[in-house]
Amino acid sequence: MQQNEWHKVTLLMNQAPDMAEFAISEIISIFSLYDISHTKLFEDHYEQVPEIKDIKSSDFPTYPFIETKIPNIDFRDKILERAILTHDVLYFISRSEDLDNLHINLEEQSLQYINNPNITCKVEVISSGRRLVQEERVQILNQVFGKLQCPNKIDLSNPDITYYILLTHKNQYVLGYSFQKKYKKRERNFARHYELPNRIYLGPVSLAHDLAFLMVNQAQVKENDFVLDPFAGTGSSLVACAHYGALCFGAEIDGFLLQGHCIGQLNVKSTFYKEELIGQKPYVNLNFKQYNLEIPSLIRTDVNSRNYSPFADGFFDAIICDPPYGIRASIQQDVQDKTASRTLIYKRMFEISRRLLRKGGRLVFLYPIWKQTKDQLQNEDGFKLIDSKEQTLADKRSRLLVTMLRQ
Amino acid sequence: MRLLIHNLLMCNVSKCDQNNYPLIIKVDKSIIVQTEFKQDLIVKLIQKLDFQALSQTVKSLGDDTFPEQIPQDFIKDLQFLQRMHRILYETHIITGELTCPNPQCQRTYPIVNGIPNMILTEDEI
Repeated sequence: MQQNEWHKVTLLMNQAPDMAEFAISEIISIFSLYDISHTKLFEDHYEQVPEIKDIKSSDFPTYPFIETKIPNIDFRDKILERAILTHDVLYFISRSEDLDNLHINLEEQSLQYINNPNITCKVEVISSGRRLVQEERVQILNQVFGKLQCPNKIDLSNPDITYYILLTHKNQYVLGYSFQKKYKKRERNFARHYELPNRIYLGPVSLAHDLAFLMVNQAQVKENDFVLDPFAGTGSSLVACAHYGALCFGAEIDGFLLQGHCIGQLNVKSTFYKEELIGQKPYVNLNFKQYNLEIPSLIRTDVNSRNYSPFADGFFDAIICDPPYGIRASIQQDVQDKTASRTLIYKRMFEISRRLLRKGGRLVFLYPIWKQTKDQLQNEDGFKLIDSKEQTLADKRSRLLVTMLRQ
Repeated sequence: MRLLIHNLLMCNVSKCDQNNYPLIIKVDKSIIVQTEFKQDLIVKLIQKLDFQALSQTVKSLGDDTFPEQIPQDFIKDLQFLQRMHRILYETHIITGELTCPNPQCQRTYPIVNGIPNMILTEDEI
């Protein structure tokens, strides 16, 4: 059966508790991009896999380490090229609630390495939750490998294989391995290259780079996709889209923000900053030149106007938005009630998306909610809600990362 | 402003609802920025654009040889595709104006630093 050729793996998810639900969403979206459904991804975890929006990190007893299967070795790279919140993919050996039992029920595919006297190895111990001191790591290592009776020779500098003993703060243990020469440190993924402190042109509420990449993964943006951000601002979401080779379009109401007067500033701390850049307007384009990305096609407009001809219907593969929450007064209408104005913005966002998104295209947006009000997303005509996950922010606010499919 | 986004735009003044695209382009300054030619992208783009509007626009900008319709077998016509890449993607209008073709309207929208300004005044909304 083809099933048996798949490799059992353990995904190492980001450990920040407030990002856990986003991490789940992201890995689902990445697998789905490569035509592996969430049902397949999590089939070993549930009797019946729930809908995407109902899958929570607390459903996984060994979170932030999640077991699944991948079709082939190359798939590991496909995941890690895109994932912001999945930091590594290890081949699975075993799992237990007791360190003394990790050597039992070993995964078939791992035996060729564990029982091999002709390869070299080293061992890493990773703990989610409390920090371990060196003595504890050594003790854990000895406890597990004492039982494993593994004949591999030790090589700490250039081993053929690295074993990982993973511990969760709920005392679940997982044993895995990887062939990568160096352990990829958690935060050093490709997206760090785009982090905001080094961005040449910033506005007052520029979208954080990790959120931008998460949204791009939710929208499954790939090369040659046509993507629009109707609230483009300083282009942060489009930078992430351009990274994947999408054709980027943006609309923004604030001319100063696009061009670079007053409200937006050149970031002198950026490694890209040089005096010659002063005056090279519109400054928003510099954010693309910084990363050798092609500049987007931009217009200055209000979301309330009908700017797009009938030919624009169904033109876009994805629409990605971080609409103004009403905290910054960036909408043309003068509305007293901030909640009403925020609702109006989102209403326009849906109207535009309904028209401009092709069937099967994705709309991904951020939606702030106040925890006291039971702010809920309404069902929207023409859209199916794929996912909606919450991230707690400071004080009583949260935000939702919402993914909708144009039907 | 690239021609590929111009192709999607129309006049948005409130009572102007017919003959309001494609907007007529007046160029004061334009540049060509060479970028990598991606065949799949250009083929996809050509199939989604309003080719008639594009043809009308390109001719008005002085290129009489531009075809009226998408040529047959354009997918394999490398010369045509590269020409389209040049016109749609590599050409940027930095300064100029867009004018509504509707004789009852004729509203102009300025292009500043390559970005067309479609913002209307209160009485036009």
